[in-house]
Amino acid sequence: MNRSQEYLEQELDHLIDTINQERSPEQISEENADMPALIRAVRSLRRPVKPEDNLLGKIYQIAGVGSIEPSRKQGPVRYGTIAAGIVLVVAITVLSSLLNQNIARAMEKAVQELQSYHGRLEVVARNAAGEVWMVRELEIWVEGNRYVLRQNDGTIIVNNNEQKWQLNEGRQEIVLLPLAPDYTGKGFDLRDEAAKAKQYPLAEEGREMIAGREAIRLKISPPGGDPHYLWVDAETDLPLQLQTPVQNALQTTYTFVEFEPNIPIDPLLFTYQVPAGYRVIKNDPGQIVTTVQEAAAISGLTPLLPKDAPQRIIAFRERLVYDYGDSYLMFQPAHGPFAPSVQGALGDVAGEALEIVGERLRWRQQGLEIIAEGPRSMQLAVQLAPFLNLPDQHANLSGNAKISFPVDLEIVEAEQKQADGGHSPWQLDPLQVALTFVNLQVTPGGIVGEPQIPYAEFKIKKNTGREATVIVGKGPISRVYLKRLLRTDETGIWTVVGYDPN
Amino acid sequence: MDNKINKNLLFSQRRQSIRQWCDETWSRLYHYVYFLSQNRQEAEDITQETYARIIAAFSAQGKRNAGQLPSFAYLKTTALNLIRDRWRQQQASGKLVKLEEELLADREDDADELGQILTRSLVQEMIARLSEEQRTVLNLRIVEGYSRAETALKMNRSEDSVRGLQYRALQNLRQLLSEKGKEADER
Repeated sequence: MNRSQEYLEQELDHLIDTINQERSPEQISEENADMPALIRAVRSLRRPVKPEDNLLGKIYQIAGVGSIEPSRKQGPVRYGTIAAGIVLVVAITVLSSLLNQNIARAMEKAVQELQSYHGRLEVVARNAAGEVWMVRELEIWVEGNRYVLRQNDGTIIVNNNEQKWQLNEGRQEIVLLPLAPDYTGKGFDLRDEAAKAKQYPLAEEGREMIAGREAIRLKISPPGGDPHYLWVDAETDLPLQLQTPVQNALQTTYTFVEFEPNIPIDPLLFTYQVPAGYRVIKNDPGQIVTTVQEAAAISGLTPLLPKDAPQRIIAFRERLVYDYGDSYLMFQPAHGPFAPSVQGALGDVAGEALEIVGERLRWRQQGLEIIAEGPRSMQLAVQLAPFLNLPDQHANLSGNAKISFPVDLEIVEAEQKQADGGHSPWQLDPLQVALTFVNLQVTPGGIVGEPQIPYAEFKIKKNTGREATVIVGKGPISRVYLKRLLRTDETGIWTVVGYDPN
Repeated sequence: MDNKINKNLLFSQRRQSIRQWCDETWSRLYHYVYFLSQNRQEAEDITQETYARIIAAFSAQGKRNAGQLPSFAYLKTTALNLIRDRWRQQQASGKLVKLEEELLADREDDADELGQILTRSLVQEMIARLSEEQRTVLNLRIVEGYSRAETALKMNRSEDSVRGLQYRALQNLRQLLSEKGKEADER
């Protein structure tokens, strides 16, 4: 081997390393001049490397058309905030706590990898006789946080992350809607079902064909409730269908009859345009502001400032919304006495009542009524109200009862199913349960007409979400002790477990 | 007032059109440039520079509206010119060599997936004609991206031997591609 050959071999070896490391080659000898091209041609047989996440954003900036919205980055779609995610939201929420199970893990991964999708969702309700009672079809386009929902009556709802509107072709009108909070998806039972199903046991129940695709059938069993069923595509791991239990004599099935993941969505779909002849109905849809001063000027409120800055602020007349993507802070003037929901647990903020319903906290502070909502609600609330006290979930309130009241769990389970089906909703209200209990002691034959001890005499003393005590203003019982025996979320019914006689 | 609204609408529509044009072209352009350069940073730089040049040119001409946004072919040609400039600087002679000229030839379909598949197929076809050891060394060293030491270990050879083997493999591949090019020219 002559020296020249050794030199060329070494130069080529270095060149291969340089190109493998995706660096630009330095100047090379004439003998090896075509080797960079040759090495690149061979290297093109491997999978291409994706560009960095914000390349499109940089191109937008170069083109002078603004920057990319956070949602358009090539990250996973944030399903927690996409109302239109519907079944996907359900699936991921339902199963997020069950990551030890392979199907749930695979589905979570598949959903996370989704950048965008287009789908047709069929919603079929069947009555107790098995007859189809109602059919709706929704066409859905989702890209990042932007979505378009087209219903089969022709109504279209669009949220392009800058504006939200509803277009009604029949009435030839566009209604501008508040951008945040976005409750569109919460109108669907699915989101509620998802919340209920969270952390519930899951079992695989074989395979079936759904919309022409092989799917794994999963059974989700809430304690004391009827099971839900979820079908997950065996090939893509994406959810295909959800079936709720029978409620109010109706069972609803949501099926993606078409689903195209990760497809380019026509940007025109998200463009706000008023067709000729349409009227625009604008009832304070709010506006995005860039400074707190602007927010104060529009809302007429003095904004409170948490440590974490929101992604954006939306100001309305007498209302402010801080949007954190998956969570919100809302401010409005405090009017009248504060009336906590009886379905919520009670904590306190500097001695004043704090209502807690699921991931929603509501309290008053500095003349404002404040609502923190979403998975980060607690974190944000503490930033505004450092002296926030939550109820002690483990407090044994009923242990103080002078007289224990026996409980028949079979009856409780049956009543819980009733409540799940929309019947006897009063059982979700501890005041109503206490009222019924106390009045039945007064009139054991049943309550006819107005109860002898009226609702106004009953006051919640404590409510941890798991246990509650109710004070009774008059009658033979001074205090009633209640528990949520089957579920501790807001869907769990209350049961009397003890009382204090007068 | 109406004029102001119309201007705003027009501006918004143009902005939307440009965004749409970017949305529709950027990924294809990046992947095409990456296919040629095999360097992510370089592909991103060239992609951005391509848009910068075209936008600057069209802004200067006052043509930033939907009907006059350039086609993908125009973007591709601009990108190819930028790659040519870079590759020339890497050559001692300051000129492109024949293989580079061929790779950077502005063909109609080579920015399409099909065009890239055909190029890959040709490379694969030529590699298939090499000896098994030469195929293995190119696969390990370039396609898989192993170092010379790792490749030597996997092939149970010395590092010097791998260096010689990869050199001969690429020489032979160059020869085969050159013959293939001549055949095509004769046809």
